[in-house]
Amino acid sequence: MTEILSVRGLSVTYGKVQAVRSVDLHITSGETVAILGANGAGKSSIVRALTGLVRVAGGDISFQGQDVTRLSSDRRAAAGMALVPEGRRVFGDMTVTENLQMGGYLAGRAVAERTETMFALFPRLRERRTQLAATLSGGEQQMLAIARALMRGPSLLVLDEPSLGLSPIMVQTIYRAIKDLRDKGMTILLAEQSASVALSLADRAYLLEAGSVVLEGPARALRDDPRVREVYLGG
Amino acid sequence: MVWTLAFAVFAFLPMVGGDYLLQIGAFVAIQSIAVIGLGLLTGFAGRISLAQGALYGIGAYTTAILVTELGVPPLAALPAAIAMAVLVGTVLGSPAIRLSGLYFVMSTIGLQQIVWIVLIHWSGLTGGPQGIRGIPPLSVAGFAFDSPARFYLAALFGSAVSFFLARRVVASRFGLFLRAVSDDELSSATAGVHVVRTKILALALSSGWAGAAGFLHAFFLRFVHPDMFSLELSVVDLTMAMFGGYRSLDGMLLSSILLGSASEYLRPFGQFRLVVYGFILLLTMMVAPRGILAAAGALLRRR
Repeated sequence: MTEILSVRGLSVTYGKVQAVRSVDLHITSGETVAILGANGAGKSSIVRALTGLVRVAGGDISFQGQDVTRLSSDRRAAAGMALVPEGRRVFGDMTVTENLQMGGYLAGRAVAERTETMFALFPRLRERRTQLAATLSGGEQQMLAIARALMRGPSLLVLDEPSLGLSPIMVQTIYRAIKDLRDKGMTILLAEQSASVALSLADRAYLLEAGSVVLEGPARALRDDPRVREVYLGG
Repeated sequence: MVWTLAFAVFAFLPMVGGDYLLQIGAFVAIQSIAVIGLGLLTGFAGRISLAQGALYGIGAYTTAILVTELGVPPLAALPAAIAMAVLVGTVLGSPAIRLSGLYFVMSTIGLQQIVWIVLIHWSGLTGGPQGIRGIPPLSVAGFAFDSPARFYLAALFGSAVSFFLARRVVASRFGLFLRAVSDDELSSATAGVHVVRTKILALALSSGWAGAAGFLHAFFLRFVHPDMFSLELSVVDLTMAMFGGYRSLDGMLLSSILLGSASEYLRPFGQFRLVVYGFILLLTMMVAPRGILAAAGALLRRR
């Protein structure tokens, strides 16, 4: 298995606040890896640093063998990294189809074909294809955000809190889709607060506290770890 | 389609209207070019600029200087006018393009004032407060657009070209980027769009349209003066672009026609014209923030 992402000694600071302290993590091809932690533990900061949205204070990020630490977000996207941002952030003033076009323009000619694949993955989006994204429900927007990220055929899909603010039924739907992707061999990095859902489909996980990794290992082992049970799985 | 027809109908104006009407028509046509250019920046890229008048002036002065001082044939001044406006707009505007909303607007007022002051004080080049007189009529391959009817048709042609060109831009992939960037910069960047480059390109396009409007303006009155390109013109252009609507080139063209011809009726207000425009801008933001066409559409649907 080849290593897709390798992060060494990553630190992120906002002014005087150190949000991420010397974190190491790696993902191999085809793996689904979860980053768990409470609010403010540093999950989003790691995601933002990986995708080039914040400047790192220290450490190296290597993606598919290439050092991307100093690359801008659009370059990392071109290199094959795709982000489903926290809060979905679809292009509200564009139709569903236009959102997908935006996501897929890097894919060039394959856009029409990929759009069909996305509609097959999320049939709901096909029904709403001419609708403005702002008028979709939260769950539909999350589907769209995921589909938009998949449009360019990324080699790593990064999801930031995909379950945030969604109804339990919608969380199930979204996670079923993520599981589908995993089963088809997509490499996935998942930052998630609700540990139980994330651990149900991840292969491995990292547990963050105050910006540092306090626990890491196979998802099954983490699920049984008393520390995780106590804090995140409701005792 | 509707607009192709409308432009064709407007082309018959010389058969029914007198010189006065044709001059207003030419003025509206020229103005619409600057407004549509500004619309690419404000309506599509979401950057509000109060420097369009200055860039318009750069185009007009470049044209005036080239044809009077250097004897350049009129049409050859067009690419120069566009290039100069693009150069000034992007060189002075690019450092500010990263700034968020209000700060960007403030910096464009700065750009507007810098250009105006240069036009007034660099007398050696611009004629200073005297302006530049004696601009020959617009002529192409020996044919002079020297009557109000002829010039009106040339201006109308320019307006039509700029409008249909802008439509191409908006419908292109780059048009999609513009809307994406104004919607959500983070999502655009992570979708692979170079956000800053996209905004600078929008600024360049908008400046280019202003330059083209300035080119025609120089041949319209055949005289240029710094006060023609003051902050007032920028406010008027912005009002027209906002009134016309967010992401609606049709609306912008319509509002150029409505407000552009209205500026004649506002003449009795003299210096207070700007107050009237300010009022229209304020009302638009409050009542129809997405412009007249969107507001009219919403009204019709409610029925």
